[in-house]
Amino acid sequence: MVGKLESMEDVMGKRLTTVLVLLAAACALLFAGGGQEKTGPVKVSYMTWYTQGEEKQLLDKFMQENPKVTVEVEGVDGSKYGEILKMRMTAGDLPDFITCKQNFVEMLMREGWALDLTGEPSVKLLDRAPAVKEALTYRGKIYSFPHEAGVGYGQMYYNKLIFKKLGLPVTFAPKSIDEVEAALDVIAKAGVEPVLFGAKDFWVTGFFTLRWFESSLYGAIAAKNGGKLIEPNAAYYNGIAKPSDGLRFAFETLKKWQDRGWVSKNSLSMTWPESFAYFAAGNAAVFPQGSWVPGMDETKNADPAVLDLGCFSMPQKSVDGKNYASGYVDKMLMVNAKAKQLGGAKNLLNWMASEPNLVYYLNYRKMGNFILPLSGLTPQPVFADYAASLKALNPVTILTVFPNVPGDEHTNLGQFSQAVLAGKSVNEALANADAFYLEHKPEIKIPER
Amino acid sequence: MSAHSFGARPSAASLVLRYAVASIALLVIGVPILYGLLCAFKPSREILLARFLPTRPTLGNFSRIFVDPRVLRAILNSFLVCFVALALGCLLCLLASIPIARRKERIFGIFYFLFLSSLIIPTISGFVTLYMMMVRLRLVNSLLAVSVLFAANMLPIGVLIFSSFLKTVPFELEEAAKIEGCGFFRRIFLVVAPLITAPIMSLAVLQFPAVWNNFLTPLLFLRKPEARTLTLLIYNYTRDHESDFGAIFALLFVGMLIPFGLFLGARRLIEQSIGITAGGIKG
Amino acid sequence: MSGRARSWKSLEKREFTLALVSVLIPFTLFFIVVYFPQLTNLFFSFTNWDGYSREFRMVGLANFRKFFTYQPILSAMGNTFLFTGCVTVLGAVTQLGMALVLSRGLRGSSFFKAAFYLPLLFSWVVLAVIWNSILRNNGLLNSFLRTAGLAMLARDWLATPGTAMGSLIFLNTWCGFGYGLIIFLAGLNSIPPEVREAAAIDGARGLTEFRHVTLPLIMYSLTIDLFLGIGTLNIFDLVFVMTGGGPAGATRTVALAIYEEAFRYERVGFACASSLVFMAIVGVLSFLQVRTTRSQEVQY
Repeated sequence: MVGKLESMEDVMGKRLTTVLVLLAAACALLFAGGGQEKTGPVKVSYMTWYTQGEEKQLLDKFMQENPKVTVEVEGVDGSKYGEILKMRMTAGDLPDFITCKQNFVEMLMREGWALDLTGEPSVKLLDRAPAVKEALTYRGKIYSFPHEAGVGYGQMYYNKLIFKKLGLPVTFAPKSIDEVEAALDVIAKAGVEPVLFGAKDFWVTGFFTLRWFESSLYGAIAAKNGGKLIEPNAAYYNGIAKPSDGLRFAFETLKKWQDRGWVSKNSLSMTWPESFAYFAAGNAAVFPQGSWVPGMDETKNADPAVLDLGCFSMPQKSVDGKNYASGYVDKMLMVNAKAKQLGGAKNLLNWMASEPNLVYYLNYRKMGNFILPLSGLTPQPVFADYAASLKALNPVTILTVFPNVPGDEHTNLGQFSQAVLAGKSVNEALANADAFYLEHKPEIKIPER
Repeated sequence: MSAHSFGARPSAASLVLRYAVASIALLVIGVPILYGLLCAFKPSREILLARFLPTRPTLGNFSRIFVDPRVLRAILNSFLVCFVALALGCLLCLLASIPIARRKERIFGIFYFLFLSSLIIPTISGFVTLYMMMVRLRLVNSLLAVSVLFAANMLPIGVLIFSSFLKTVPFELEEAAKIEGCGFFRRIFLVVAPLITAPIMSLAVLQFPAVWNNFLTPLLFLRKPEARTLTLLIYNYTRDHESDFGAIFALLFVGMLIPFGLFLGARRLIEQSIGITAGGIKG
Repeated sequence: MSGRARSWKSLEKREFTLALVSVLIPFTLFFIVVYFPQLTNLFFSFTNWDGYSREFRMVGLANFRKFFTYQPILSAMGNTFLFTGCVTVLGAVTQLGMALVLSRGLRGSSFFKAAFYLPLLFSWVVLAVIWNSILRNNGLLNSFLRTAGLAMLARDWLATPGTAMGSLIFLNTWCGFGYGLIIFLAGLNSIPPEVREAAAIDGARGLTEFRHVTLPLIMYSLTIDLFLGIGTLNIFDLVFVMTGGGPAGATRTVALAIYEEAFRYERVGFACASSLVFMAIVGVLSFLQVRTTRSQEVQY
């Protein structure tokens, strides 16, 4: 018995030691690969939703001009951005410098994480647009700077080659929705996919129904307010109007377009990037999207034999002779009040928000109109027609800042527009939108001004 | 129904029928997987066209993904995490199961119950708290911490398998060793471990896909690009490079190859461990 | 003599302590990682915490009451039970059928067994890319149907509320097939040959054979499948990567709904309460299941 034990001991001993040594080695490797601090130049940590290196050119320029500083970028996928930001904030683990939307700036402000930027040189630039400055001021203080902002939605990109082939005007500048619908009918009857959405991501149709029908949105809400213009979200919050009032026309149009076969049947299968790849390959005629030209790389590298990109502005139903357009502040820059590299982060902000660097960024990113008057902006050629038609509308521009229910507005209300495409009736979808708003209204946090 | 007649010799017709049914099922299972593998060899534009075979097979997708240094790093990370998680997990299961299987005191029955009943807990419900704990302990982006999480989650199944196996193993050898004066822990590693090698390997092999393929835990806790596991990288690729289908499928190909390779080597062990699990569930 | 007895007793006591330590090492880790978060969930379920603010209020049982009255959660429960029920039944039927087909040492059965196990090796992240590509509106399945002249069957499988859930049920069955099959085959092979031969010699068809062979087999497999069904009630990965709960919430399961409440709508308190209530429901169901199938067990 003893002998057996001893020999087993030998074997097991050897086996065990090997396993333990391997285990220790693996643990050491993992530990080394984990979060370790490196020494060196000042490192400013920066969280952004640009995961494809869209800001790399700008940041490289910064690091060239500031050799003692390195910017460590952490790109977080846009669809998870809000969640990750909230979690990191709860855990006290925010980076020095942050990109986010204004509603998150308000959240960080509430919880004490937003640095007061009121005295900073970058903020002086906002004096050029007092309405914008006022919208971003809370109790006399400013906490963020708009890095990407603009005026007007309703960009309808279209493939000029398809239009030409079907006998439609190559420079398309419709003055009414009927004109658009007539064109869509021609396209559909020719067997070509008319309007393509990346509707599997429901913010896409949400975005469309919320922002491509601005005139009717503001008009409908104003009508409920005795004809006086009021921010839609404020109207919903104060019970003056319901989301269904504002969205009704948009949902009905979407439904009509789908019933008449003017929406590509592939829309619900495609996520947003898939849809623009599909569009850039020349498979669909019209592609509604914001002012970030459809998938920059896709259209830059598009085969000119299949895609010639054009852009017209979605015609609006004017209300009492007026047209409305939204000004929007999309990507804001802000500094973590408790940043480890506070000075470095502030320098980065002021550098990025100075006029020459701002213009440099917007030009190489080919971003659409900016909200502050800036000199040196070169417009993207595809917007020439769009800008002309938008100007012809002569809209009243409104900057909306009243908070909506938590989560991305386009996603939250978007799920109901997607439901319309998936077959739900307009009334049911609108009723659900209203119920949703009421259900989540208690979570809306209104910042003090 | 010829399939029921166990005793009688199978007729030719019934054999043909059975092979036919099995082959149809094989097609249903195999065709989608084959399609996925083939897409790795098609250029991105072609993948959108929904044809089965590639018209112009290309290796371009693979060169694109291997140029990306994150890919090799992610593969290495996945291997490391799996190794540590499985080794640690087996060790912990062993430490837990032997007392549960051998001792008669009630408290061990309670432990057994606590391990097993945790199976009804949904995985996502613990994440908010876990995340806060990880951050407070500065363990975010730590592959080691993630491995430990995986090891801990192996415990219910591991304890089930090991303890039900141990119940079938006579404990005379351990008794004898005990009388000889062999200490408790020494007994575990020198006497019991060699007996239980097969279930240990089976558990490791069974849990390997679960650890390798897990993306939710890494999604939450591993955010530095260098720290990502392969499955997480694939998930990120589908969101960041959504339009580069070729690269995505090439990455899928690599991601599928590794579990497949291990599977080929360990088929019998998998069957054994499933059998033991079933036995444990019954018991 | 008494000295020896005393040392034996102390040895036993030491054994007990060491055994306890041995279990406590893994159990402590387990408790921290698995049970402790549930305790914090319990605390937060009585609050209206949004997941990040420093302040929150106690709201008593409001979240628990809400669980039973909130339409999206109730329909998520409906979806989840429908999903689990269909998957369990469909799984049992297909796996049993294939086990019978492959039984009695059909040549090549080990090849089939291995091939059927393949989907389980891969993550849903990987399989979702493949299946999305097949099931999309202009995907492989539809183009196959169209070329085969069955164009009226072609549709957007995952985006039509009617077929989305069915597609997911199919996918889950497709994936888990190999696992259940192995269990069934093991069960089939565990039927002692004497019983089978006895049944054959008696010329037994129909009732006798059914009672002695097939029925116990069905009970055995039902036990296993119901047990695995508990995991299916908490299904998350599959739905998350394939449909995200859409279209129009048709495929939203409870786990997904909890995730959305916590991470998208900032209602962590409600999410915690929902998670606990659902866990209790699952617990009761599994308890009942264990009870009923235990009593039906047949030993050979």
